[in-house]
Amino acid sequence: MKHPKDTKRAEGALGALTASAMALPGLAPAALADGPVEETSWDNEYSYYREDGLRPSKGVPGADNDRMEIHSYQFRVATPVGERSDLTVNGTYESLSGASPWFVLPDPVDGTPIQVMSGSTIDEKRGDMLATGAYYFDQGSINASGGFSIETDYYSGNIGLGAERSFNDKNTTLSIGASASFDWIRPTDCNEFDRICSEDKQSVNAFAGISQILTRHSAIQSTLGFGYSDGFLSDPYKRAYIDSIGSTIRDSRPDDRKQFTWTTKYRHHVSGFNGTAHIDYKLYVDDWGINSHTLDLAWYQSIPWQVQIVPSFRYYSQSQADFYEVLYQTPRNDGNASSDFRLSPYGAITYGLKLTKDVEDWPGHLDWQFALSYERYESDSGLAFQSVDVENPGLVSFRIFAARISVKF
Amino acid sequence: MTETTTRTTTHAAARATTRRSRKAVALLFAAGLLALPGCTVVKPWDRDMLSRQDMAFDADPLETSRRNHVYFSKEATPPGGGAGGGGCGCN
Repeated sequence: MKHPKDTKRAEGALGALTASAMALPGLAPAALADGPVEETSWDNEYSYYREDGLRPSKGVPGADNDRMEIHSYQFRVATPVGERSDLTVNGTYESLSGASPWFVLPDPVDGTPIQVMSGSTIDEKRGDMLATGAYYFDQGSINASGGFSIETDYYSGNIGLGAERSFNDKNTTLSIGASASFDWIRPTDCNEFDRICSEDKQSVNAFAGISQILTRHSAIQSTLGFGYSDGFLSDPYKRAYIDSIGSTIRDSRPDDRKQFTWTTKYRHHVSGFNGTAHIDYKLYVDDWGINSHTLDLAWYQSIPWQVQIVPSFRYYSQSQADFYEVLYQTPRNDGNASSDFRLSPYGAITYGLKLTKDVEDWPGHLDWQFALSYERYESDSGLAFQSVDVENPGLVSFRIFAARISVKF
Repeated sequence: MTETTTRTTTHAAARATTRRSRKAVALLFAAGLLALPGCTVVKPWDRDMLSRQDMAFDADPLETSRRNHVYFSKEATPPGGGAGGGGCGCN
């Protein structure tokens, strides 16, 4: 068994996949946007993400149980280009450090699963960028996107196309889109730690959505999404314990995956309270046996002095992948093995609070918006819809502080 | 006598099924009534509330991308309007 402290950049791949997720073009159909942006806007956000340390009862006795922290800077620039088109550029630069779950072992005393961490040796930087151009017709629009994500051991590129068409005096909008991404994985220390040295994967995604104005105060959007991935879909930095051989083997997952999502968003402005309700629900199913439910609630309360207070709550529950086990008695016939907590059954809640302040016609006659937010995420097998026999010891809880400054020229 | 009882029971079951069906139809109808506002056309000059920033389906794009970023890396579910892809498939 390799020493945990020698495992580097386990979070590298993680960072890359999140980057790719963010960079996926055309996956968020816009509604009620029936023309190009009219003025240039520039958003800047700094965020600090910190995971709770592993609970002592879940980790190796005496080991360092610290986990990841991430400092992240994001920006977004949107500007009109001519009379009928606009351009939006998103970018991220972040610094990741700490430790992440490596594999699970049975406790030598009582056999309960305990999490072995990678050791606090991860120190990674990541950058990504995504550009989207859109052209608007009288009753619709088309858009094209391209983006990339780069870090030491992971490279990803993507392209996408989308279109919208409005009907019914622009009360109804149909949206479709498709994208493709190409990822190259080059894990560090591959020979030293029995990892793959070079792999790749390809993904295609498509969606179709409808947005409908319901009343002067309410609107709804419903979107179906499909994704297909092919190639190396395992985590090169994780391993799974097999009891019959008394050792760990590489994390190994099927080499393709089909994913389906159905997302519905509802917005309702309550004039009497000068507040707006956001209610979002997402159903997810894939052919690895995982299904999940996500409910997002937020209330945007406007108060005097152009201040807005936004409390939010999120509930999430997922089932496990068919091939997932926290500890394997014997190897599976199909060769798959993963003890990754992200494939385990659990539930999670997030609660948050955001404050925004608008300042109009301030220096240079510009319009500014300042925002501060805090979010707390807690996951636990007891929060899952279904009963869970054995909780994965690597489940994560974290908090995020964020500060944003936006300006319109 | 037994046949009569059976027939009575069958009819009762059929009536119960019919009642359930009617209830289902009534519920569907009620749902349809609730959906009727969806057929109302809101003219552009009546969309002042709908044009508010907090009425957008994505009211804070940077926050959305950050959340997608975090949740996709910690959960099995891809973000938003479509299915995820790219990345290492670690989740």
